[in-house]
Amino acid sequence: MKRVTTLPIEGKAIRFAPGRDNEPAASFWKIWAEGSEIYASSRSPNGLAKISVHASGQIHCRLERKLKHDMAPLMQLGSGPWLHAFELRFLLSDSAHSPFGERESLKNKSSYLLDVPGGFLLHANLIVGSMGTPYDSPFRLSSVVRFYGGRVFATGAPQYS
Amino acid sequence: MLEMDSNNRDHIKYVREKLKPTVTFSGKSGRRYVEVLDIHSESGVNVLLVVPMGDEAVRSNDEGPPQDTSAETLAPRSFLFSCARSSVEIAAPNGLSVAIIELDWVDTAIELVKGQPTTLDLGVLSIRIEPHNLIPGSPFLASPRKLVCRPGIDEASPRTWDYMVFSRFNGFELTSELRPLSVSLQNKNLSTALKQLGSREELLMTIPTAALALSATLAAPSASARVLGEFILRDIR
Repeated sequence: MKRVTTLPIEGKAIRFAPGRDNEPAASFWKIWAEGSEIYASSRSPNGLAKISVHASGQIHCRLERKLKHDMAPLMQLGSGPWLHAFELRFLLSDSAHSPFGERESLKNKSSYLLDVPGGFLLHANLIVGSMGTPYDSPFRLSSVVRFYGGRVFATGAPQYS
Repeated sequence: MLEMDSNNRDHIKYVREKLKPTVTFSGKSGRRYVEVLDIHSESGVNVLLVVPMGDEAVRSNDEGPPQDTSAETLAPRSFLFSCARSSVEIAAPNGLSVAIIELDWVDTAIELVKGQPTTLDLGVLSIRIEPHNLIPGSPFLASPRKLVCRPGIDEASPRTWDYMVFSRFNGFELTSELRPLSVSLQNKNLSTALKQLGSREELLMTIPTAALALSATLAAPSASARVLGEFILRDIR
């Protein structure tokens, strides 16, 4: 479990969670790509949540083994080449419990903790680029996870269109 | 990273203090973690709110006697549990019906003492397969099906009680599984109040107490299992 000090981070899959005092403050999310589909999942003691983003633009979610539900489809960001899939908002608060056993369950898998100071919250947006989109093509969001060319990138610095 | 604003603070307060969902764990000990995941759309944007919860969300099925230990509070209370017969058909990917899952009709008196979990036998869940519609050696995963039930305590019923039945055929044996459902019955949420339930009390009902899996084979096409339910009468926190 690495504490993120610099962005972007990249890999075939990214596991990340908001952190406080070098410990996860919420369950980890994993984002990865398989073929032309992108998946995101989080396993907490309450069960598994899984989101699938399809090449058709459809987005589905499934909680535990229940039936899948449709979410809003991919949405174009302005007139640029990027499409917005979903936003994760981690609403951390005082006296909330922290997940436990995360280090043990992750074993040696690479994962990242994004430090969230008190009084702040973490937004992570999944932004998808169509084939041929330059990775550094700008858009207007502050904290994102981008999928590009079969790899996933998490960036934090504000970028402006 | 964004600075927390009043909307965020209000939302955390709403989830943790007003909505205040609770998870009841077995046993008293152990570290617990509960997280609320709220999935919704804001003007076409998919938003997933993750709210880690605190002590307010954690309860145990064995919290011991209530604070009020008066004879009246601790006196046994009688309720009538009933559930009509319900069934669902399981289909193979080719559309043919391959099994019927049936939950037996039940009508039984239950006696509860506040603070004491009570486990009761609530009848039989059975499976009956159609061997002629199954092809030996051809495994498949069936689409999950809803088993719609309507359990009631006296005149009160939860709004929905639908089991999702997951079935698979390994080429020889068809197995169907359903997982526990639970509800907290509170008079403020019921159209017909439970006369024996106080305004600060809840009746927690979990059926079955653990996942139930039924298996039938081409040679033995029927199987059944007893359904156990757990009931807890306790104070609302």
